[in-house]
Amino acid sequence: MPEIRFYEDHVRITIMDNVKRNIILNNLLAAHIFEEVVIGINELCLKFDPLQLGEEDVTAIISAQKAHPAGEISTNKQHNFTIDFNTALDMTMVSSHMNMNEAQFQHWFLNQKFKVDMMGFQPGFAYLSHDGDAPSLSRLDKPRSSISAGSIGFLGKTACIYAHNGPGGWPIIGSISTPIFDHKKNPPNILQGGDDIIFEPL
Amino acid sequence: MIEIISIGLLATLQGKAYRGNRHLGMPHCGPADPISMAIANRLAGNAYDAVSIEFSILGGTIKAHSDIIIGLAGPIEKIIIDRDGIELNCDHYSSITLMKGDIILIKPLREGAHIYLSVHGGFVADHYWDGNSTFLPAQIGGYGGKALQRGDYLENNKNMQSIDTVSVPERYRLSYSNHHVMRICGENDRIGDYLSQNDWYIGRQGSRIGYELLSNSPSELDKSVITDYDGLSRAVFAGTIQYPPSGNPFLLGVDAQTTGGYPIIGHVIRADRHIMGQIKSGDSLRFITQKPREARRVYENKLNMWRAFIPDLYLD
Repeated sequence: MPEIRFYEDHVRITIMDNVKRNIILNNLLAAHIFEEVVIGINELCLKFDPLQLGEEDVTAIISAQKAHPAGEISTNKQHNFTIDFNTALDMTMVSSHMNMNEAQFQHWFLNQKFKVDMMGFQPGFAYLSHDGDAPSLSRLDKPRSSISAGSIGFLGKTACIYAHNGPGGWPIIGSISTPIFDHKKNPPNILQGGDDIIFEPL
Repeated sequence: MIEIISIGLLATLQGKAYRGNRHLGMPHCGPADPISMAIANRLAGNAYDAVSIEFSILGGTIKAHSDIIIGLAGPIEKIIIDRDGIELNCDHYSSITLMKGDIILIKPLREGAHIYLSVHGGFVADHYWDGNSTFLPAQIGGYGGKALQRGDYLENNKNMQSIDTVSVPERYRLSYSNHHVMRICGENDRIGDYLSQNDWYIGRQGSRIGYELLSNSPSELDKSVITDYDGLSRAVFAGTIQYPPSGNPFLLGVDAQTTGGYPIIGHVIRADRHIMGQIKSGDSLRFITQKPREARRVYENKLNMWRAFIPDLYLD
């Protein structure tokens, strides 16, 4: 996959190193040069006004950032969430894919320590990863039109927490009742990239 | 102040989008059709993105509780003002002065999806993260983050002030259809061919979040042409076209998520994204492919054309 790929009004940059990616994200957000700076699992995507910035300008900014990424990412918190497996929509499929029965899968899941890789998708939505051994799952062939807030999605090596009711394509293996987004708080996202999460049984 | 008398399918307050917050997972939001909302605001003497009512699919009826100047735009068949029991027909291509007690009925065309009603000064709305548009899933912005309902009272920001009456020049009067053509940049040439050679229609999954694209006789997309895909979540925007395993492409709208893990096969060009705001379930759709360089030129020309009438218009 090319390291930098330009589109009409955005550019994708592959940055595999999670710390470097987050530092560059914070630097570019602080610079207010781009309309949007969005972090992906292995990339940053910068959206720009093509009447204000040309590809040469954007390339120069990216090169400078990649050569000397200076800055720090904030310290991490640990969150303990109670998970209700009774709300799973895809437990049978997921546990079968993991070569476990449902009880074995739930036991395995509760013994993983998850890390928040990044925020995205919706306000408060968290992408999680763990160091355990798990085969990758595919997203659903057809996304569900409505997933309940607090639902836990699972794709093997990665998981997610839905912050709001809405559409979603991840297999669902349970839910938490703790709200992870509160628009009346500052910041409204309870979770941040780098935070640790422990799931506990109901 | 105005009162909502009736709502067709859905109505929300839309205004400033939540630009610059996608790293927090906050979608763009704002009007589904920003040009139509900007026209309504121009008629009402406002900035292009002053908070307005967005009526989805089926118009609505409001009552003025003070003398106000309003602007309307979008797929409107006609508007009728009930003033003291007398029905008045109005030209909706011009600024309209409503007197206290007037009731205005907005009848939509069968074509198109969103009508905008702006009031001089703009409606008062919840402000959040530099935006004030309604985002229903998170109950943010607009009228307490909620859809408008019968009996809601909406305040406007200024008292009655005289402004020049404005009419929409002929060349800026948009026409509406159940058939849409949008220019796209395909992820690569072969994917662009696949998108442009099929006749698409909008499936039942159609909303501000996005639109499922169906075809009666779709040509198969050879999966091997999707080369830039690793299955990992990455940024998506309004106008991004995803390709889920179902084989039905999904066109993302203004309220769409900020990241996604399905393959990305194309993007509606910046100049044409406003068209997405007037498509609805059952409408037909064709794509025309362009290169990014051409798309930027088209964007510049279109923006300059519109800025001759709406000087502060911004399209993204």
